[in-house]
Amino acid sequence: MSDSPIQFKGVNGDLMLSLDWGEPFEQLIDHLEAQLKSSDGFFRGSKVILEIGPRLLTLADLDALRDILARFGMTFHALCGMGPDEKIKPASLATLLAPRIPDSSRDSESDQISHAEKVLDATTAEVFPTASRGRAGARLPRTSVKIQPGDAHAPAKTLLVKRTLRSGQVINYAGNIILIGDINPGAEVVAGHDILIWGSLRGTASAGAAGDPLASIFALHMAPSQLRIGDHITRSPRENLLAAEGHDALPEVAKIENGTIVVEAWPTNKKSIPLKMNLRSSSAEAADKPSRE
Amino acid sequence: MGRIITITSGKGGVGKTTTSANLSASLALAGKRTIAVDTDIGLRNLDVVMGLENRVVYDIVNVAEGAVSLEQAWIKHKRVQGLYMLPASQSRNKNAVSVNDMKRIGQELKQKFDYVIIDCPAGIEQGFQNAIAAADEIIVVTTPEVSAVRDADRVIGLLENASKEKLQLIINRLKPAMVKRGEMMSTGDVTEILAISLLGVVPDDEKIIVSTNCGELAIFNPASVAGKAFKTIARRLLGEEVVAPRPVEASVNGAGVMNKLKHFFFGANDTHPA
Ligand SMILES: Nc1ncnc2c1ncn2[C@@H]1O[C@H](COP(=O)(O)OP(=O)(O)OP(=O)(O)O)[C@@H](O)[C@H]1O
Ligand SMILES: [Mg+2]
Repeated sequence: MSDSPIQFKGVNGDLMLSLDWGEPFEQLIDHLEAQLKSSDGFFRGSKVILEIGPRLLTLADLDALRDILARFGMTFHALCGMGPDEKIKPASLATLLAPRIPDSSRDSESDQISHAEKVLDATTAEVFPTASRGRAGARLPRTSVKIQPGDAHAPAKTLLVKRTLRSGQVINYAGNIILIGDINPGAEVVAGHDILIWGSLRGTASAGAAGDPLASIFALHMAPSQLRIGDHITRSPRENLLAAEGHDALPEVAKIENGTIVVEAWPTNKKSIPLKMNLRSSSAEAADKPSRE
Repeated sequence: MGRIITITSGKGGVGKTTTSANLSASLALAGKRTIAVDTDIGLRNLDVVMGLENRVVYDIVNVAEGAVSLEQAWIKHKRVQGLYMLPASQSRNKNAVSVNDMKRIGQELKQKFDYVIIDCPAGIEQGFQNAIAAADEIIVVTTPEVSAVRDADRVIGLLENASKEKLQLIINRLKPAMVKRGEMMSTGDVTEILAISLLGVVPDDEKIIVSTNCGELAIFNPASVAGKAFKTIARRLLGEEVVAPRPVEASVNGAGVMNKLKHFFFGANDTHPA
């Protein structure tokens, strides 16, 4: 256990900064500055993954952090953390990830959001939005980033994640996501395009968030509490479903067919059957129709 | 130097205090100088479970404030040689003890005891952070219920993020008959999701309630199956390889209730044509 409230760790060539949970934010900022000062430019040029635990950060906090990193020639790369229920929306993350722009042009929320779109459209940012809530009085903008439909045809980047996502943890990425590990109940993975889970999917997976109707979700063991592809949603009829591993479980893939999410064996055989769940979808008529046998 | 072990859970009422009390006493009986520390400020009850309620004079807040020494505040158990208890405060505000206070108290206790067992409050607020601040090892307690497992999972995620690496699991209040009927998650169902090493399984046992009511620990009741399980767990903590007859490993056909539910939702016959 180190006494510093900020831990520095190398992660795949990037720099992970873990913030102590208990330390007041103002002190953390001071510590960070002091530590970077004493590091004598050692971290210059590094991409920073900020690990904030259950801490609640405001946009102003995020800005302050970004300013300091920028001052020492470092850039934000990703944010990880967790909190009770809401997510820091990609919009607020993008303000972190975006290059600095003059203050006058970013005093309104909408500016920040349009700025965010640019960042995510480029699919350059590897974003791990954190589930968290702004402090009272300083709520984070709730608008989610819309990824342009045109993106569906652009070559998508892929984010490889090697860990199990536990309840309350969220990963969000504009390209494809490959996750080696499980997605536990209460955890969520959101990708602009395809999702491949080398493990059990028991939480929520949203593929094709960029409006890609051809997106699929692959899992070695498919037992989700909710699946979303594009604007189609299926959910299991019971809340809080915890599905355990069937040792006979076979890999499966979920995709849209005839306006319905279907799940079939993977690698694909001829047979494709509709998911036996309550189907609810934004195009409700489509979902109610039986899919092809 | 002793070991600091924090007992935590996420969800409330799953048996942290029961576990803390019984493990502490078992370790002391095994000849290890042990102190049980109650960090549930405002809801102190470890003293009650250990039958020491009427001897509380000072508490952990007094120690944190520097008003009294640890030696003045801790209570020596009369019946169990080498067993001590540091009570929580009943009435003070929850933030009266800081993470740094806990680290300091933990360090000091580690010099004086072989085992420091910290009973954590429910939730993931200040009290939780205090309780884990000084921990060398953590035991996560859950019951085999969906909501308890979900909260345990969340807490394990937080602990992993806080670089707490030595995490072990106790499943409490398992009802073998229910597991057999496929009405309760089995040990396998729970460990499948939580994926940390299993320290032990404690069956549901009515005698625990009798014990709690008279401040008599379950481990002293030879008829208590839960008491037996706690003794076994203590031996595992001491490094013994104990293969206890675990209540129920998996239900019939190796598939627990959750798997059955899943089959119901997904139509297993259809999705698994093979
Ligand atoms: N194995 C068991 N069999 C039957 N009852 C049990 C068992 N373990 C605990 N209990 C009962 O469950 C209740 C809660 O236990 P306990 O106080 O140890 O939980 P806790 O996790 O410390 O709760 P809190 O979160 O409120 O601190 C008590 O009434 C206790 O007697
Ligand atoms: Mg308790």
